[in-house]
Amino acid sequence: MKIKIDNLNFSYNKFKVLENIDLKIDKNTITAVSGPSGSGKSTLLTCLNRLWEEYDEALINGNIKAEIEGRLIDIYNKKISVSWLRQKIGMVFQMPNPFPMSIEQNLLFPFRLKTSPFYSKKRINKEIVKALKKVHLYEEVENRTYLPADSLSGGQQQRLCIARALIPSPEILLLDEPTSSLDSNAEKRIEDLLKELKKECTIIIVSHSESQIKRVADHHIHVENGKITKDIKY
Amino acid sequence: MKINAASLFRLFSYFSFIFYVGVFVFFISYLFIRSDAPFSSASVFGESSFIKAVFYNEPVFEGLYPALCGTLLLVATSVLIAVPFGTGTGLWLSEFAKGRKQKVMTLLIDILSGLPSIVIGLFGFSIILIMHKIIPAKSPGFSIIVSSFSLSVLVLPYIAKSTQTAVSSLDKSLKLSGLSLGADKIENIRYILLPKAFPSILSGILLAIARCAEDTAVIMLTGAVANAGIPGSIFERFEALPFFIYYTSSEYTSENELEMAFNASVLLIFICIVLFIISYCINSIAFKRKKRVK
Repeated sequence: MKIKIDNLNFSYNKFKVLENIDLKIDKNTITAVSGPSGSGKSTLLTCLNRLWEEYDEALINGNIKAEIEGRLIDIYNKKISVSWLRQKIGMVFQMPNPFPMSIEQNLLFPFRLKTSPFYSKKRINKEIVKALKKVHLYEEVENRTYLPADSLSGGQQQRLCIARALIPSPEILLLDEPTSSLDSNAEKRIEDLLKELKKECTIIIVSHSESQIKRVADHHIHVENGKITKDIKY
Repeated sequence: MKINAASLFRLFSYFSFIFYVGVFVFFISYLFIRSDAPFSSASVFGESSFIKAVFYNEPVFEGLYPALCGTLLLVATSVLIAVPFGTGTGLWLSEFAKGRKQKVMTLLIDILSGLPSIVIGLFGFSIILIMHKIIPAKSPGFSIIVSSFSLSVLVLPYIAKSTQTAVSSLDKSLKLSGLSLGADKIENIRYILLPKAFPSILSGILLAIARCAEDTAVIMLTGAVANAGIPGSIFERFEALPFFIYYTSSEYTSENELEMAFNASVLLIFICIVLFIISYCINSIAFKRKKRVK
């Protein structure tokens, strides 16, 4: 088991967003989270990497444990570094959001952070090429990594964002409707990519598309009004 | 032709535009006609020559060069003080301040941006008097540094507001994506938010520069005088183009003197145009990201 959530409650501005969530997620699987807008799907993801802490007036209680680097840790333990946790639990957002810098600089970003380990230039280049190859973007941008990242197409930008999230070698990857703004070709490429990535990551994806869930998910949970109403493992 | 409210409004908009362009063209043409632009060397360097004035610091009498130097030094010093504090305030308001604290501070910034410049000038004047009482021997007195400090108080709200608006209006997921990769708040601001918001922040800075270059009320109470010559340091009195225009046009005794005021006006407009061209170029470079990768 990779993630274990016990009795998770989350409220925002005194409004209950998640109520009594209990969930177990297996290692190296793709878990799809579906549900109507405002049901708490994205909030559930932000509870896993503590990104909700960036919002004002939010309150959480409950237990979330995740197996990271071979140890089952309480992610809300005060001794845990939030930066380290977010590097181990990567996240990709609904809209492709490359940073205002070149393709290469986008991929270098995780190495520039003070919490990231020191790597030689050669090792950094190797890691960048590895990440680009994983998302099948290497051939498309090989000689053009100096170009601004927002000069790429929407699908390419989203794959770049996935590559950027993969740089710190996350063990869990959270994706918040990553294909909702893409055309069907780009969507297919990302779905194929997720099937490959699950060999090394545990993936949780928010999706509105039933057909997409059927195509990629090993585990499907449906959230309505902040509660899990369906929990099926395929 | 059928006349309805929409066509009347369109006609009104069109005439408003024509009126504006007419006034602008008339105003600029009038200034140019009354000045001796393009300037002769005498109107800028007086009896001295360009080389002697610029490279050998020969005193310039009856030319605009000292006022031009004073203005440029004043603007540079003011901006140097106002930009770090202005952007810092804007970033604090958009990224760190929460709830009531944020609302109160935003209101204070709005009030400060509406203060008449003569009041800020009086504030600078008071600083000189207080400093003189506390440290009579080392008080800076009427000088560029006091004028610059007062001007930076005047323009700080513009920079703070433009920074706050620019950073607050960035996409929420862009703000969160740096944090989701493990960046702390400072790294997120430094590497992502500031570069992305830079073009909008720059417009605020340019507005501030233009305001520093044109303001008269503040500097006439804090250090600008007629015939001070080229300032040797920021602790000296100085000449500045807006004060030169005010002083010369209100006390002129001959047509030649009045022409100097028009010359100074044209030079001030030229400085503003150059600054806007620079800002336009920086903006164009920042937005030049439309090449598609196939």
